[in-house]
Amino acid sequence: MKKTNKYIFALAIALALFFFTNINTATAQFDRSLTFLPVVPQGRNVNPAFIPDHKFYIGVPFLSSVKTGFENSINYEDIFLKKGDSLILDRDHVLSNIDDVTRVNINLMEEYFTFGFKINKNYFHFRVGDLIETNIAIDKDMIKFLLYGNGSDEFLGTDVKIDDNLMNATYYREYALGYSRQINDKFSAGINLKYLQGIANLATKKTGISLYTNPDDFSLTIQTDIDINISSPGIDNSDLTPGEFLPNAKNKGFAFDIGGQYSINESSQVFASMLNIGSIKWTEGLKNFKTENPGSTFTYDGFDIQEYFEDNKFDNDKIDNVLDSIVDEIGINETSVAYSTKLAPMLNIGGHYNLTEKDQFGILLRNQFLETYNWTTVSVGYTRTLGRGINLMLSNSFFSESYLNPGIGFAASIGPVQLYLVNENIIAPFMLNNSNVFLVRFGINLIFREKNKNVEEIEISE
Amino acid sequence: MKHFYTIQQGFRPNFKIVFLLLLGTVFIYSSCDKFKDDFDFNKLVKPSWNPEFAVPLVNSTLFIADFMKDSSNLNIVTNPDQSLSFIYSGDSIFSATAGTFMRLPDQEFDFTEMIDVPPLLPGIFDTINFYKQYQFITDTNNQRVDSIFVRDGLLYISGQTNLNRDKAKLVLTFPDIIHIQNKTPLSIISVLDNPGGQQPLVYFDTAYQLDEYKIIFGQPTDTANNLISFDFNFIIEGDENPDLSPYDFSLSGNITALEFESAFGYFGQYTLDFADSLEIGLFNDAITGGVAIGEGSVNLIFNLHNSIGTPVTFMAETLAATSEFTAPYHVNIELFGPGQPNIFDINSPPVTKMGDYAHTNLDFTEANFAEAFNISPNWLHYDLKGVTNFGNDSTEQNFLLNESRVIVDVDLEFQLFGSLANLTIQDTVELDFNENPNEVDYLLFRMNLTNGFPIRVAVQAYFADQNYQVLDSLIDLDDNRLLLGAPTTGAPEYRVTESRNQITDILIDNKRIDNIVKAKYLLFQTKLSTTQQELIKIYDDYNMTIKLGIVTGLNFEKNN
Repeated sequence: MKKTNKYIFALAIALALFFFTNINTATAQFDRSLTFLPVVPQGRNVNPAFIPDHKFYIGVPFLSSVKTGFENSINYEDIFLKKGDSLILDRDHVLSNIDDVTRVNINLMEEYFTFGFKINKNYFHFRVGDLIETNIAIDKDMIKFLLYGNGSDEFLGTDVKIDDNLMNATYYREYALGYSRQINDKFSAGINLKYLQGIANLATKKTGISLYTNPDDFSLTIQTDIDINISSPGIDNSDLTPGEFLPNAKNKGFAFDIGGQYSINESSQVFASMLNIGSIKWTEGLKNFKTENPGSTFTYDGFDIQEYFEDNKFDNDKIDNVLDSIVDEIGINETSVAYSTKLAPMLNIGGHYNLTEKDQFGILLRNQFLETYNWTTVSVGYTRTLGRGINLMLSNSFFSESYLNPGIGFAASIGPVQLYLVNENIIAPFMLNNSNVFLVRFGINLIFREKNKNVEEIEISE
Repeated sequence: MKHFYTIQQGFRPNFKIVFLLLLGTVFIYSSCDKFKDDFDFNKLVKPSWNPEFAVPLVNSTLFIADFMKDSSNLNIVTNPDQSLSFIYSGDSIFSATAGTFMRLPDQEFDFTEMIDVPPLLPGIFDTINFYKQYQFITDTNNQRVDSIFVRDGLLYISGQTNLNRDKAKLVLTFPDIIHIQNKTPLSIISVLDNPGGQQPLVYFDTAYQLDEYKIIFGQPTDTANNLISFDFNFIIEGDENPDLSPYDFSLSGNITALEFESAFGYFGQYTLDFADSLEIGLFNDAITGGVAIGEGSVNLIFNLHNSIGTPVTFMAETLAATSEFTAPYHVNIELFGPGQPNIFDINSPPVTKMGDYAHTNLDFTEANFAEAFNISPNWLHYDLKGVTNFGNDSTEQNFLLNESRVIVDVDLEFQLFGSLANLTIQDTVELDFNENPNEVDYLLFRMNLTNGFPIRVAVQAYFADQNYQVLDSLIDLDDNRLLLGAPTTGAPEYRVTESRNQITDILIDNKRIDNIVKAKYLLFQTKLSTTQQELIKIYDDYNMTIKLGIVTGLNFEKNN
């Protein structure tokens, strides 16, 4: 390795560690390991400047890319204790294992149709797919509050402030048109333009709640700063059918990805990309819940005793109405106003170093910019080219909650049929109960390479 | 020139690929199997802890009126010293009106007379008259009716004569029946023409409304009174018809549907009934215990309004307080003290105030109300008789208007001044819970009571089934939950100096919740006492603040 290359790698690792030591959260992002499988055209999802070496590819409809996974700051064993054959939900166990903010992130993607082709130094790409991205952040105090309750000694007579909760769940369809160009021998750049159709969304902008429960009479003094937006098909219709979850052209959005890649020399490349810069405007199936006067305090201390009785009969419904009354009087307005949600932009900085013609090392530093926090991870990967269009990849992603997340992936071609599978935590399927991270992505593409390229690969494999 | 390669060129079976596919398959399969075993939530055991959620249910500040059930006959009044009194008011009882209780019977009269008519030349007139009296029949024997202003009545007369004159008429004048407006006596002219004397008899009849007349009865004689005079005048013209004098004459008649607008005289005795019961809701729900009233704190007030122009004397055939629960259950009230009859006179309007009501307000300071209230009475029963001219003095000058009547209002005023000795009040409330109690492990009720009343309160609530069989109680029987009464300054004001605050927790576990959910009735008992039966007064600013909150321990389903 040349000195320059070593310097760049050292810098990348230093940057990664800098970000890494400052993270305490997690969110949905995934797809890190795709950058370590250069034969898979879906690598453009990570780096738009990436120009696959094939002439043309088309994904098998509905099977070109299926992805599911989670990245959580909490795992199953953080919640449940297993003793013998029994499962125990222990309050202290849960609270001792969770961070100040617990994050639960679920990511699903189904690519319906995709293709890409190269014309000289230009590469064009198109894809249609549905994405579900859910990011939930729960304040530890909130979990503690739910486990103990405001009537417990922990909370009775004390001010409880819960304001770090977040839930963003978005289900949308993406129509992406990509273009990449090899600008010169060393530098390539690319862009993806995305038209988005929102299907459903729940977005919490503010979830601030302050609660004081008076120990003498349990009266509740509440201050809220709530701003929650929902857009969903059939939001006012209890008889919702799956067919209503179709893309809604009225919930329009636009986004773009950009990236650049630089070849330092024949064996080293670095790249950077910025993904998901854009937003969706939600205009259909709306519900907004917002605190009318965020600074105001409301005290609920019960009904007049005579309201519980009607014609000398106890009115059960009044008890049910207690919670409704609290909600009513808190002063949260319900409206149906259009709103926008930003996609969470994602910065990727990475590099590849080809130790030999068949052995490649890679690193990816990723930071996702969310409204209230950044989530940074570092992934390293080793890729072995086994033969014609065959990559075997080993990786590890480092998270603050979990350092050991070894991944495995492969891409193999049988003729033009390319199968690929990426897993970002190979341990998880066998130890799912204590895994924070899990991703599996697989797909089938039809890859058509240039003839001379194919010959070269054959030579390499031999 | 670049070339695409063909499918055939890229197709070479490779054990490495097969190996990778097998690896992927094993990886996915083993993952699924592992999930199934690790995530079997049927193995979840019930936690040893419950989240406890607290909500306030009740926040009420109750004044004395809030403790009273809706009662149309209760007024709570603030006395000048700001103390409170309950006034239970009976419905106004109206006597019959004078026009109803004093009837004027239908009258019937008839007269016969032989008329001597002297010979008259044709064209010559002569007048023949005579005078009759009729004794007006009254409602009772000893009535003396001096005059009546007629409200309604029909005078009917009919007669016949064999007078055979071509031209003749009868002018019948009632000198005692005077038109109210023009003050002329009633005079009725009947034509008795018998042309050529052809008819053997001449008939006549007339009906006359008397509603614009007054009847001034003639001065009584030693043998008769209530007399009405008839003045007969025959006016006869001479003709060629044969002279058959004396002629027969007869007259009969009646006065029917006679009603008076006003009547004057002496009307004797009528008895007016006033019977009713006054509900005293204060003690309606009392089941035991008693009260001792402070001196002068209870008063029975008769408000009587009389527009009858006769002396009226009242006597109580029944006047008693009754209780359903407290012995001796029935106490006769003696308004004027022990052994004294409950008889009293009321005011009557003078003739100069005819049409007005004379008011009589009677309260009875000597009455045995304290004795009556010791039984926590639910009812005051009274049956009063009002008798006109109770002294039977026929020289009295009475008057009656048709609408004259006596109105009796009975108020029982009870200043909240006394003492309570374990006065136990029970109320029944219907319940119909339909919640699934499995969701709740326990309930903790926290009652925060601030008692501004100088009354000690002990509370118990029983949950009973549809047959009133007690299933459970809210408070353990051994638990003496007592809310202390606020201390007072003592006599004479008995003012509360400071409120008492007390926080009481009542824990109900899930077994008892099950009983409660089955309950159909809540029997709520409150035992009220004053400290060492000391006297207290209730003022208008006294109140009790009830704050009730609940902590619910949520129940996790137990699977193993």
